[in-house]
Amino acid sequence: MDTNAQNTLVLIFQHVDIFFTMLDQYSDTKKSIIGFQISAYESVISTYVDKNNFNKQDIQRLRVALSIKNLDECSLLLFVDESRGQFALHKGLLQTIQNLDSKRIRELGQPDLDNIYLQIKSVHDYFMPKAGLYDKESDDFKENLSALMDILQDTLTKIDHNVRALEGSSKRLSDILESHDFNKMVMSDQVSSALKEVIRISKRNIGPTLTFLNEKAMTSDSSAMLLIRNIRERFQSDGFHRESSDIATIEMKLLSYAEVIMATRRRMNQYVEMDRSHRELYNRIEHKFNKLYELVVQRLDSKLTGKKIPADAPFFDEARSFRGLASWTSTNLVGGLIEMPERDCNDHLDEYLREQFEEAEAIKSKKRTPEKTGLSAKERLAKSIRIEQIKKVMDNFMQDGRRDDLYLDLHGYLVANMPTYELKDIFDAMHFVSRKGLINPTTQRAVITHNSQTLTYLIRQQVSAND
Amino acid sequence: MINDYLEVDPFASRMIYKDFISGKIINKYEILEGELQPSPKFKELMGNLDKYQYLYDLLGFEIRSIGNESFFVTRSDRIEEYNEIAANIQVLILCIARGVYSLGVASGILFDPTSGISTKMLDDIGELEEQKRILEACKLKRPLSDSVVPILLNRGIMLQLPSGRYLLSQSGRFMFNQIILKEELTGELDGDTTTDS
Repeated sequence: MDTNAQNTLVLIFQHVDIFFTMLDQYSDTKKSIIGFQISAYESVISTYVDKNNFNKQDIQRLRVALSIKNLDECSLLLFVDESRGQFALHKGLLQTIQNLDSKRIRELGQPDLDNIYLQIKSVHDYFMPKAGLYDKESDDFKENLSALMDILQDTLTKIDHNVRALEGSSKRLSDILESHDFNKMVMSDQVSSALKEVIRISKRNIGPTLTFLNEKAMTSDSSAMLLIRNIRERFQSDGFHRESSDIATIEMKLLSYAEVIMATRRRMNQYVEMDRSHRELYNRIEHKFNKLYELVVQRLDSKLTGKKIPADAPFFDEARSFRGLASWTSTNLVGGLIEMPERDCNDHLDEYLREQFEEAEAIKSKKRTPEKTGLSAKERLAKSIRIEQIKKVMDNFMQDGRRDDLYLDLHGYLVANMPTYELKDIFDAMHFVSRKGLINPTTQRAVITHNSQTLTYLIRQQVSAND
Repeated sequence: MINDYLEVDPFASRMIYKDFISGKIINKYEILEGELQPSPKFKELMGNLDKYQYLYDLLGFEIRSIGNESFFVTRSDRIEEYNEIAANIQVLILCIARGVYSLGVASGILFDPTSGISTKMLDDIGELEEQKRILEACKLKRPLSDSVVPILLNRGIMLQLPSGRYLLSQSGRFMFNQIILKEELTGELDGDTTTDS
């Protein structure tokens, strides 16, 4: 069965933020926490309860359980000094809470850093105007020197604490974000809150700390790191070698944290960038898609069937690189490569042909050429003269009477009367044989030989018209 | 062989001719033996581009490049005549890119060779109210895959993975970038997630 002390402990750790707030308040003023103010503690509980909208019963239970009286009864307090209004948690419990505290990111934001700057500035303003004329034995000097070392040590602790917590937090968030597929648009609540936390840490913690540690910002007077460097250089020149060396060590450590924080920021920023680029891409697609949809809606007719958007609409200008993409099947391929203007007059065509004439000759297909007429003018003249000669010779040919072999008679007559006679002239001479008589073809063959030429022919007979 | 004179690969040149004449884009990468690999046709084309340009010019064609990572042929005297396919490509890619977001997936799925978009997803996109109306207005077929196959896949804008899923090719990516990334937006981006560092 749970005891009161157990339940109280459970409640302490359930609401450990109350004690974290207390630690935060005290860590600013004291290095080690011995006791808390009772009034401050009660005030923190009231603020905590107001902020967290608990119901009445829970508030009642919380107030009773975390009251100083109850804590004391449960032996969780080291001491309670009612007269001074102070109390201290049991050492073991306080250490446990402090250890838990180091796992969370302390809000080392701009106000904290400003506070550190002011502290450093105050000691800087003490040491610098003295220009090395220190009274080393004076209490004032010793106190300021001690304060300087305390401030630097405290700053280093805070930054170190912050960096370690940042690394742990970054790893935890990375694990959550790595589990998310950024190709999926819908994020789980866990991923979404992790991303928000990354952004919050980056804005409130990483950014100001990096600015604080930035070496380049040292040139400006408002840089805490510049003040630290000035003090160190002054100490070095004034012979405070041990102090100068201590400050240099802290300074180098502080600067080395900048690299660690930068790496963490890069790692965490990649998720933010990934998410941002996805959102940006989505917005662009959405914007363009809406434009197309508007175009479609504008063209809807009364039947809501819509009219086709012409392919040459300005909206499609972005697809111009693809214009002309088509299947060059036979239909498209055989279409004329030269297209003439569709106009009645042939001026353009004539002009084009005149321009292209030489090329047209060069590429024209080989056409069938007409057969030669055979004789040249000279040959035709010679033949004509010869025909005239044959005609003249044939004027005296006996046209009447019967002839059993007309070709043979013609041959005999031409041999006797025409000195230049050749065997082939016999056919031309046939045209001048009188048509008064009848010429009958026969089936008998005969042969005439003249000047080593031979003519084989079917015998034709001539009979007079009176026969 | 005549090709010896030109010093081009006779086999690749035939494959190039087949793709070009059938209206297909040759991309830098293609699916070979089930994997996304450098295209031998693209390599051949790039290596002898001037020769191919001369050859196709003799035939009355012009080789056009898309973002230096893909090629197709057209006839320069008919570019404006054949602009409907280009418009349809733009509409389809825009509808798909918007549609994948509606299905709860980012557009990265269209570029990832290990993923790709399935036929079912495409058809689901085609049935979304706005997409349906746009497809009707552009006289594109539904289910959406019936338009995607002839217009995007057969023309080399998309590639098909062995799993049957579809992936944007180089020319498809170019179109995606042209359509979407070229659009200038001012003051519309959500700045909530930006860091102030």
